[in-house]
Amino acid sequence: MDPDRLAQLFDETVALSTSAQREAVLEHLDKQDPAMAAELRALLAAHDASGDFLEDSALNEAAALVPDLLGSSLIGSSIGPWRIDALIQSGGMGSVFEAVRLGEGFAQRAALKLVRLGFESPELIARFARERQLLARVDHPNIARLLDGGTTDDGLPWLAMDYVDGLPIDTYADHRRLSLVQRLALFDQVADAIASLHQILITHRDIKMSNVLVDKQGRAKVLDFGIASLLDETASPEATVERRISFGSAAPEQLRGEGISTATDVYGLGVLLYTLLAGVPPYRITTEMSAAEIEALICDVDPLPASIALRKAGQVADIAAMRRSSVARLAQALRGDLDTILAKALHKDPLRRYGSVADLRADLQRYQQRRPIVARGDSRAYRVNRFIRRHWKGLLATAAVISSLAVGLGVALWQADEARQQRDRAQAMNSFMQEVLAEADPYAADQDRTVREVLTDASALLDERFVSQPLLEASLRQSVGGVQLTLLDLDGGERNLRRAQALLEETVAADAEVLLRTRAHLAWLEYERENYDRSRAAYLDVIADFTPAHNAEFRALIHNDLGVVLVGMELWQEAIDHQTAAMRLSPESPDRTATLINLGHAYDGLGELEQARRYYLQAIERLRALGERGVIADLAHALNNYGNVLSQKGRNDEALPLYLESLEVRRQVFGPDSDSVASQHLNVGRLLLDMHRPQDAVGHLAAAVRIFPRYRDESSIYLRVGRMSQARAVLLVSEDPQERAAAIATLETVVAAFDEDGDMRESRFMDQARAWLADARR
Amino acid sequence: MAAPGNKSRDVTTLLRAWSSGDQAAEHEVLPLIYEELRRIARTGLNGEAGSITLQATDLVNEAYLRLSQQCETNWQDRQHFFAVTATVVRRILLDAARRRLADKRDRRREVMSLDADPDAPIPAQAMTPARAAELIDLDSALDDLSAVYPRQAHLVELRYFSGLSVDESAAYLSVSPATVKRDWVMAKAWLLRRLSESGSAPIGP
Repeated sequence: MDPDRLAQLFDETVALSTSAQREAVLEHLDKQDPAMAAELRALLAAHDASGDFLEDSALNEAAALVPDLLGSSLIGSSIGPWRIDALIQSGGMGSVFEAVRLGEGFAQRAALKLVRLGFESPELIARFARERQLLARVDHPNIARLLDGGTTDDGLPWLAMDYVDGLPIDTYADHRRLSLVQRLALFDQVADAIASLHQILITHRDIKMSNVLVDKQGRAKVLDFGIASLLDETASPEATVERRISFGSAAPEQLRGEGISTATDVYGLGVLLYTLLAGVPPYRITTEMSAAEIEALICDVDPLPASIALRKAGQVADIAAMRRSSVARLAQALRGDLDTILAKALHKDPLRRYGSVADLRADLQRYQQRRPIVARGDSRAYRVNRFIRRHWKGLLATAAVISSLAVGLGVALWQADEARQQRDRAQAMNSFMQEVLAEADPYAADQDRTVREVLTDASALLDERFVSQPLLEASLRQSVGGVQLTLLDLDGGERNLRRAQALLEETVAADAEVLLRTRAHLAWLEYERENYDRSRAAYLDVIADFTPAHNAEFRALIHNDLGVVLVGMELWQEAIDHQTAAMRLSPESPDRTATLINLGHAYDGLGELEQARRYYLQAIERLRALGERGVIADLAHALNNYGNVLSQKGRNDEALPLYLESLEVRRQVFGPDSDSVASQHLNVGRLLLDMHRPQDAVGHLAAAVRIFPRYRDESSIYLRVGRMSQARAVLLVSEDPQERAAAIATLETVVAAFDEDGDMRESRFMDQARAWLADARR
Repeated sequence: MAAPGNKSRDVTTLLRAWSSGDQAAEHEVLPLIYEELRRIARTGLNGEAGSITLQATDLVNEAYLRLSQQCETNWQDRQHFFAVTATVVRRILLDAARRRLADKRDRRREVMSLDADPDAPIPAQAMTPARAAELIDLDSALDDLSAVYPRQAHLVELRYFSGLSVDESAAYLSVSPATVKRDWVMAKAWLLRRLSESGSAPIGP
């Protein structure tokens, strides 16, 4: 029987006003389809008898019944040996009660977990059984123990676990106003518990604040193994089980339904630690977001460093106060190592996180002992990524410049065709760059490929993509090769540049300037390989081929670069000649700030300090005027070098503010714990020593010695000079016999190291160390 | 992670997840709705204990408003909420009915807390065994209806269990009020016929 037909007949018939009319329809239908007629008759009869059937909503009735369903009515009753005293919470799958077992002279309290009445699906019962099975294997002071378990008369499974009279870990830490160090200690308990789970092949999978309670004695207890799992369970749990986990603390692989591993718990611990330290979670999930948006946020967007997220938090002053700190001090403490450790724990790619909870704990311990952390390597990759993003923009701009040049050429008719070809070439280049750029975009899915890898892939792509377009291929290889040089991928860069050179030399219609640029890149390659003579010769060849038709800015750049090579060779006067040529060719270009610095450097080398001072000052003035548009890092160098010149002239008081400004610029550009900042701390500290201000020097020198080991090994002259200068400052300042003894020991070590490698180039430092040691022994 | 005291965020998120077919989200959202309905049932709309004279729709609206406090919601969320509520209420009644019948065998669960805790649950209305049997039969008849006339069955859930009016149901289902009225008449007749077939007495509210 067709239900739609029946419904239609019913609608029509029921609307008829008299029973006679209905009967006529039914009789007619009887003849055609007796079964349908019978059904319709029954429906109409039911309709007539329906009265107020279903007219009053059952909602109030249900609302009044609800408390029973929550299980509150179980309070006071017994399950097994346990008497249920109170409802602690009702969760998705069950209710947790506070229960007590009364024995001879003792009363044991427990948290008794029971499947919610009416929700006893086979799946849920199986999950309960699994939780019980997993808990039975666990024995750790920071994990709630399984005390008892069984099945009610109705067949509902239940578990009795340690009753933890405590607060969620974040609430506890805030109530007690725990400092950062205390929070790290508390977190370590949790990490230890999770590590112990991993040892017996269990993953927790749902690490979050409310699953970690801390009791009055300050002992953390991990709870809720509702979705925990055995690592060796081959059958992957149903997607719905995985998706039950809380959004805010879910790892990307959990949201994507991918493989779960111990790295998932590393992530969960990362979220916990981040929030515990910074007072805000790594991701701000708002009500406006759909599940897909939340998933995209967690899977694709990097969290802000905790030190920055903290500053953006609403009650930032409260957050700091609850950590017994000030906003500035807390941000300072998070910045650097802790930010780096959290970034590694929260990495999107499980393989890029800490390999184990033990590794995470070890790095946190290293941090607390002020030793270099292992996570550093990763963050350097991040910085390279950031650098490359900037660089790709430069490349795109190059392509755009070529494009606009091509358009400008289209004046004469005979040129039009050529111009079109060039324009097309520029456009093809542009889109190719866009494509590669998308690859390198750190915000795109596969953000951790290094730019080197991207460029290597791009080079491979070039091999096949532009076979019939040699000019385009050459332009692209020249650009890509240039970036490879800046990234110090010298071999990769050389391959592309040599190929570009060969293509251009074979092609009659080749753009002479592109060929010159390629040759100039190859000259720079020799400089990077420290073949200064060959570099100089190659540059001079390029310059010999210059004609006035060549772009002046381009020619200036080549003179400048040759000047840098010559400074490296300490051919000061020749360097000055080429830098001056660069200044003359394109005096207003922003790149000339670098030329001015190079001029200052060269005059400094010649010993003409007044000239050097003049150029440095010009560079600084220009860089200040350029602001963001200039190369900010150049300003740091110019300020330092200028200060250095002043200091050589005995004008330390004027040098100091320049050094300090350089330090501040370096902080902003390279980050507070960068190698560059450490070098500047060293310069500032040593200047202050010269100025007989050892009290002020101590902090700078300590910072230098703290940061250098991350980037340099013990044999580095920077680190060595840092250590001896710090020791000197301590000896001038401190009366503490232990500190003095340690400082003397440092000087002895440094002197011994100088003696051992006998590098005469550093003799002035060696002499200084000896003098200081002798002075200290006096 | 779910910040304590910020249920509303979870509800909205979960409602969306649930409406896109995530059964796990349903398991999460139901207890919240239970809880809210219970609180309203206990205190009434104005927060005065004992006054349980609510219009059905007011009750759901109130629950919705309370759950969605401090969060921007849209009509879509509201619709999901009605659908979830219908499911919740239907399950509440079915569970209660089953237990009412089971109680004959097992009196244990009737033990009630007798202290004067203001948070103590209100006593459950006594459900007659006949009413319990009716609800169980209605539930299975509704399943049957859903197999043949899914739209009409959904309408019954919305109107009977979620308390929506004809116009609200029409808006929710994106059909005209006239269609809702036709479907409603048809669905009631169909269910009543199915219930009489299975031998149940006609049902009162």
